[in-house]
Amino acid sequence: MRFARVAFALCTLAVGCAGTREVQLSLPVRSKLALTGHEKLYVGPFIQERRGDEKVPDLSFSVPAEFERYLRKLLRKEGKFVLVPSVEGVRPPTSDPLRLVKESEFWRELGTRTGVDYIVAGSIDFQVQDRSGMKTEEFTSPIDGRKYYRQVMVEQTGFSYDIMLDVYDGRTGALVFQQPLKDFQEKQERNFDEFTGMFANLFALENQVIGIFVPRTVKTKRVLFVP
Amino acid sequence: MRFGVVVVGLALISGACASSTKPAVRASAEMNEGVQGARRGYWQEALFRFERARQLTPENGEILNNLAVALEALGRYDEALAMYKQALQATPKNNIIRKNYARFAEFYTSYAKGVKPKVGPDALR
Repeated sequence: MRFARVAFALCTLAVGCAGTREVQLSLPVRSKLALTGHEKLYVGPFIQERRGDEKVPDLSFSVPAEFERYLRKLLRKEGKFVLVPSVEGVRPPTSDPLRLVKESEFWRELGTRTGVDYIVAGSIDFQVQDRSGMKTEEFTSPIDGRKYYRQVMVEQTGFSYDIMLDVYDGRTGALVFQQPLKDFQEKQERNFDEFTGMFANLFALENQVIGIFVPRTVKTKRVLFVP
Repeated sequence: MRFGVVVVGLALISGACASSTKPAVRASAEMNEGVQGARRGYWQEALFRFERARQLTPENGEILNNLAVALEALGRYDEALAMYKQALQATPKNNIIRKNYARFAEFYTSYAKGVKPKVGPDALR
């Protein structure tokens, strides 16, 4: 009996020794575009999208120009691309994003003029939404402890960003990659500064934008079994 | 005297176990080597060791899990996915394998579809 107990304890101990170990991984993530990282790129032009008869928001800055500047800065910081300076007077043949994608002659000409491998362009739709208004809120009275409903004034400003990023081959003018990027940010304040709002959207999209051009790593943890 | 009998008995049992489970013991040794390699970041070596351990005991879910992690670390995501599935088939109720698989699936979906990964352990650096 005693021998059985000792044997059982030893077996339990042996099983208990088999454990786990957490390990840190750096998972490689390839860029969506197969690039070496040393290509010559031209950034622009970006056009502002219009939804039917809706008027373009009255802003104190140009959204496409700011986005172009931001994208240049990001690509310079994160990659080793050769970024060709902006060419003055580049006018897209159409302001319709769907038709512009098909204008391969325009993109080929721009590519030849700048001598680049790829052109990064696209269309942008940036909306500022003042969402202020009355909202029904549940309220428990401190006097009688009963629940009441009251109307409260909620002041919010929403910023939505809808980008269609297009990459064209600089030699042929053909569209080689297209990626939609969307983000929405809400600020608990009315008439929140549009410029700050726009950059809050852009910072949220940064990983997605850079993931198109540059390989990244994702830090994570997994568990291994140890015998 | 009694203690001596117990020791001899245990030695006989362990000897019998060693001869009958030799591949399992060797697989454990390989797995141990693999984990040591993984801890140092030598994932290629870890993969080699886990692969050998699997050849010795093919249906062991824990070995399959370690293999999947090594494949993941080397960026061989499609193979890692298949391996996690095999590991779960071998031991469907193992919570650690399920957790690993869930984390991997989240990453794999984001990576494959280009969706922005959530903030947390898998957040982008």
